Amino acid sequence: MQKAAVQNRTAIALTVNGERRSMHARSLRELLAELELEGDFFAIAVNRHVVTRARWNEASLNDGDSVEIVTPRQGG
Amino acid sequence: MLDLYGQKFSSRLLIGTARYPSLPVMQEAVKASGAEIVTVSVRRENAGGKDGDTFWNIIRELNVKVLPNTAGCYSVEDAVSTAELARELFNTKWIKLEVLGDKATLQPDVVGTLEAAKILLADGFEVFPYCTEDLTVAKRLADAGCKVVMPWGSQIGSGKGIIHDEALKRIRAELPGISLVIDAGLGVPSHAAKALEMGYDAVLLNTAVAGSGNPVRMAKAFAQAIKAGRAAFESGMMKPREIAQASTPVVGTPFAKPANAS
Repeated sequence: MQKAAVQNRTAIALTVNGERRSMHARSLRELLAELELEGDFFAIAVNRHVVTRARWNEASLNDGDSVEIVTPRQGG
Repeated sequence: MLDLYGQKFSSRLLIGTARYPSLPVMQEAVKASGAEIVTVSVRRENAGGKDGDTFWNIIRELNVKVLPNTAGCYSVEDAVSTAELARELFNTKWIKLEVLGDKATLQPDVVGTLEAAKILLADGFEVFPYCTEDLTVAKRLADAGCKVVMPWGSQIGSGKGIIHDEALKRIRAELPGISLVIDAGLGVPSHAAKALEMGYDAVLLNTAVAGSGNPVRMAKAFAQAIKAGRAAFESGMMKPREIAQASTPVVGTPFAKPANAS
C-alpha cells in the first residue's frame, strides 16, 4: 500500500514498545514503514504472540493492540 | 568436549557481549577468548532500526554460536515471551533463562525459573537456566528436562568469584549427567580455573573481561585459566592433608643422624 493511502486511513491506538501511539498502519509491514524503522533484524510480537516475518504483510493490527519490536543487542 | 544439548565445543568459555568500551573491542576480546558461544539479548528498537543491525553484523562476523538471554525479566510471562521473540530473532532453540527475583542482588527467582523452564522445554526450547547454588532447585531443573544448569558463583557483576564452594560441589556430585556452567560473579581468571577444577563443565562471564583494563588480554587470560582448570580436573587432583608430608625423599639426607642415634 502506498504511504499516502495509509495516511488517509483513520488512526488506531497502538501501544508500540510500551508507548501509546496513534498509527495509521494496519499491518506490521506498514507499521515498520510508518515508524521509519529501516533495519533488517527485528522480531515482533503482537499482544505477546510472536508474528513470524513471513506474516508481517498479512497480520492485521487492531485498535488497542500492543506491539513489541525487538532487535539483537549486547547481553551477558 | 563440552556438550550442550548434544552440540560439542572445544572451548569451555561462554562469553557475554555487553559492557565493552566499544564494539570493535568486544569483537577482538571474543576472538582472543577462543569462545565458541556468545550471549546476546533482545531489546526494544527505538532508534531508527539500525543499532540492532550494526551489533548483529559484528556478531555474525565472529561466526560463533549465539545464546540469547531473557535478562531483566522479573516474571514467568515476560521471560517466556522474551524467549519466544529471541527464538524468532536468532533462529535458535537455545535460551539462557533468567527470571529475576530481586532488583538489588539480581538473585534468580528460582520458583519462577523452574516454572518458565517447564513451559519453554514443553515448547521445544533448549533451556540454560540461571539459578542459585540451591541443590534442590538444580535437581528440579534437571528433572524437568534441562540438560544444562547454570548456578551463580556470586551476584551478577560482583566479581567476587565462587562463594558457595560446598553447595556447588554438592550439585556437581549429584548431577553427573548434566552440563554445569558457573554463570555470574566471576572476577578474575583464578575464579574460572577454580570452577573447572571443581568439575564444572564451563563458565559464563562478561563483566570480568569487558570491565577490565584490557579486555582483549583479559579474555586470553581467562581462556588460559579455563584450560588449566579443566586439565587439572581431568588429571585427578591430590587430596589435601591435615599435616605436612615432605616431598623430597628423607632417605639419604646428608648429615642426618641414624634414627637410632641418641
